[in-house]
Amino acid sequence: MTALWGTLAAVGAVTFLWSLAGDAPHAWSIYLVNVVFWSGLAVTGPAIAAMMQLTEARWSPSVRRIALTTAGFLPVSFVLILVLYLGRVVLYPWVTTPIPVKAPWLNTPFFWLRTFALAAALFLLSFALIRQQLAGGAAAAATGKAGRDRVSILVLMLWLITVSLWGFDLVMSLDPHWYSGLYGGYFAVSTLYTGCALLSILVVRSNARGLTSVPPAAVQDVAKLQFMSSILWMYFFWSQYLVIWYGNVPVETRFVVKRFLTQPWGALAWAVMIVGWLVPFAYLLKRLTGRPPQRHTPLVVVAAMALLAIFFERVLVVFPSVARDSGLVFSLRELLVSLGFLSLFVLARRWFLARFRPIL
Amino acid sequence: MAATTETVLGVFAHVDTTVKALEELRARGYHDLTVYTPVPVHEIEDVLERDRPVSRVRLFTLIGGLTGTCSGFLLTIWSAMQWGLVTGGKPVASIPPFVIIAFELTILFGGLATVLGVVTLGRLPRLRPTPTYDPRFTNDRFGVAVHCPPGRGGSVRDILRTAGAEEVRP
Repeated sequence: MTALWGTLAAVGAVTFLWSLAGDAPHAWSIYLVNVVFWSGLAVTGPAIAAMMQLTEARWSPSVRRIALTTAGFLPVSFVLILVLYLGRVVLYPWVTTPIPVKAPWLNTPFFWLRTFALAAALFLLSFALIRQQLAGGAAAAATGKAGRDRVSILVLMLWLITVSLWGFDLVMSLDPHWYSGLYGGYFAVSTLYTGCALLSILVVRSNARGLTSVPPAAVQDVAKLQFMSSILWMYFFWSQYLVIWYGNVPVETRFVVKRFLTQPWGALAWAVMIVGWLVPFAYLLKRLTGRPPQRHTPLVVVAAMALLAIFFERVLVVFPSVARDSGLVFSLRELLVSLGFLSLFVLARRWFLARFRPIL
Repeated sequence: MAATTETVLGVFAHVDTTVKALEELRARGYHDLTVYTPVPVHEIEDVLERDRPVSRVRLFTLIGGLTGTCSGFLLTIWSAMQWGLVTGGKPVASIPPFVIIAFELTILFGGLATVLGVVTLGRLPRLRPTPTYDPRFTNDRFGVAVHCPPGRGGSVRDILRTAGAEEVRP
């Protein structure tokens, strides 16, 4: 199985390099989408564990430790963010034609310095959190609750700052004339949604493989987290959309009109809305009002739908800004590169499980 | 006239003995149980709720929530039409901002209907405690009251004692 994932990752890398030569904007676009999507998943696992630490959530220690395992991708993610530097000229128009009024924030040295420094700090702190959370016996007693709380607070603050800056910097500045004060928050919330959806899948999967025995009531609690974050995602989207709709200022509406009213983006936007929010919301609403069910297949399905939808939401935000022609949204090339990232994520998580040997 | 049912009360100090007694009682066919617990305990809920239909409170919430959504849209659209409120050059009945009022009223009506459901279905307020209530049940003891046909009290008392009740009465 490892060989298969390894091959897929290699195929993804080769496809990326090959498409760089042919169509650089598309190649870097799909690269950026994947970097923010998978890195977001990787940092959100430890962040959820930190939230559980701070809220003294005792409903399932297994769930907390499963959440930590996404961090295996963090070292890989750091390298991938470093590589992103090479695509700056293709992706970010302000690199070649700076906008004077925004130059103090959007200039090459400061932009990349803060991106790298924040990512490094967050990743190192996440591993500090992991060592604390996975420590047992005397080591755990020595750190104490206060010590674990302190690291959790730092991780959460840094998570919010870093992920919202990924939204503002890495994604929003692709179209440097458009701005939304809420975009960073929106990006962090949608990342949290993917994190919770992945957590549902991982919990059900590790139960199925006999690694854990998380009771149905605790799986239901994970589903509640997913439900909460799905509502929060739509809430943030609406807060942003409403202001742009009412304000009706061309510089703001241009961004929305292109994505909602021109094809193929409009169709994609509706698909994201239905697949990523409407169906999961309806299912979870039904699920959460009864007793915790024993079967979790539908939960895994809606979680996968959420992940897929947020992935395409990132495509919807990034592609129209970079690749100006509205050709085929998603070709085989993009699919192979994305599968490559998926395999890297799976392999990195396996490395984590082998290296830290957490008792889930 | 002789009583149609007999009630036996067992007082327990621990969750596990309480759950054991409940399992045993249910296995022997005693389903009319009243359980007192000082704190919410999932294990007890699991035993008692196993084959009981899901509470109808959620129906109250659903109807309340949907009523809220409709009232939210009706209120905003009707008042905007009535007074011809044009805001920012948008249509009089413009849905996006009205979604917020509809959303808020969904939550408000849903919440109020839920409280109403809890009060109605729980037959609250109950001003006088049930005959088997004991003040210890709000402190540190669990109580299991078994309502059984007359003459079966002896067997119920045996079950409760075997499970580990520290006191059985009458």
